[in-house]
Amino acid sequence: MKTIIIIPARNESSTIGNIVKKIKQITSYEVIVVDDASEDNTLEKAREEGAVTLSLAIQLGAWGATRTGFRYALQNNYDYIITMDADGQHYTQSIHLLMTAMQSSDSDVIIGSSTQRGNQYKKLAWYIFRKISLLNIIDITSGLRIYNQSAIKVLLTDDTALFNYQDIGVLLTLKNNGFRISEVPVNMACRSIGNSKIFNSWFAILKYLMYTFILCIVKIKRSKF
Amino acid sequence: MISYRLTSCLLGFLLAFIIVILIRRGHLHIMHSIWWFFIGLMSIIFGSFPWLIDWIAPILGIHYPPNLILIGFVFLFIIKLLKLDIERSEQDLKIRTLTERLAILEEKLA
Repeated sequence: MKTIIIIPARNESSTIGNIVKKIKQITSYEVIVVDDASEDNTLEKAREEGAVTLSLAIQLGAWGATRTGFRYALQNNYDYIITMDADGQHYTQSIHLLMTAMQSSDSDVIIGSSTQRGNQYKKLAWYIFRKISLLNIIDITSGLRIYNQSAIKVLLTDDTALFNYQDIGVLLTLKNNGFRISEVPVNMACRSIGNSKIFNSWFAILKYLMYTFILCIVKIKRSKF
Repeated sequence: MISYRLTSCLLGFLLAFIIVILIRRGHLHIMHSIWWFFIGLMSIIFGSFPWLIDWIAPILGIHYPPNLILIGFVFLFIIKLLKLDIERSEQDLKIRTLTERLAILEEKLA
């Protein structure tokens, strides 16, 4: 079974090299870093450690970068596709955990979820989104996931091209297409450097909430009719 | 003091004239210009014959005829704005897809 690890990265030169090195130490999987139009030397750092690199000419956001990685995976016929954040939040050991879970279950997508992550407000927001999206998933924003090839194919249609994040929209698309999604609990580190890219101001939070809310309404409606 | 008919007529022709100039200079795609031609035509017609408004408004149940012009234009502009955003989304989709494919091509060539 061919497996690939996709890491979307934007301005992560302080962490990316280390992450790629650690992955290479514990697995033989192909590592691909998708550079989302970084302004630092993320690309070079990833290349030095032996990752395949794709670089986006225009900044597309984490989801656009992930999709580009998916394209690569599909063209090179990989069976399992793992996505990971570039900020060092996910432990490389979790890769084995996801892989074992994937091989021993009939799920199409498995999310490495961390329940201890986030403050009360974030937990409340997630609870509300779980209710309105009718998704039975605890960690809807986790970027640590494993997909099989058929799930990737669906996520590369035009339907998902305009998403901004790898979260509810992606999960709803998968669910509407009849894919099975499950979760395994994993440990996650507190961010060593930098803050969350999504939740960096109150305005950004509000925008994200509105975005997700509308997304839920649109996607659920579509699955009913 | 000039007649209000002359003012509205002049405004109508001015708008139509600006549109023609913009198209001739290549600032406006011909497909987009169809809409603006329509707007220019409407402004010439209603500018030259304001009594048309006085005639149509009561039929639509509007007691104060100038309101019809305002409502009509607001409606047209909202439609146009919606269409703009739809087109913008389509373009966004194309740009994103192109960027994704370009990244893969570059990797292949490297």
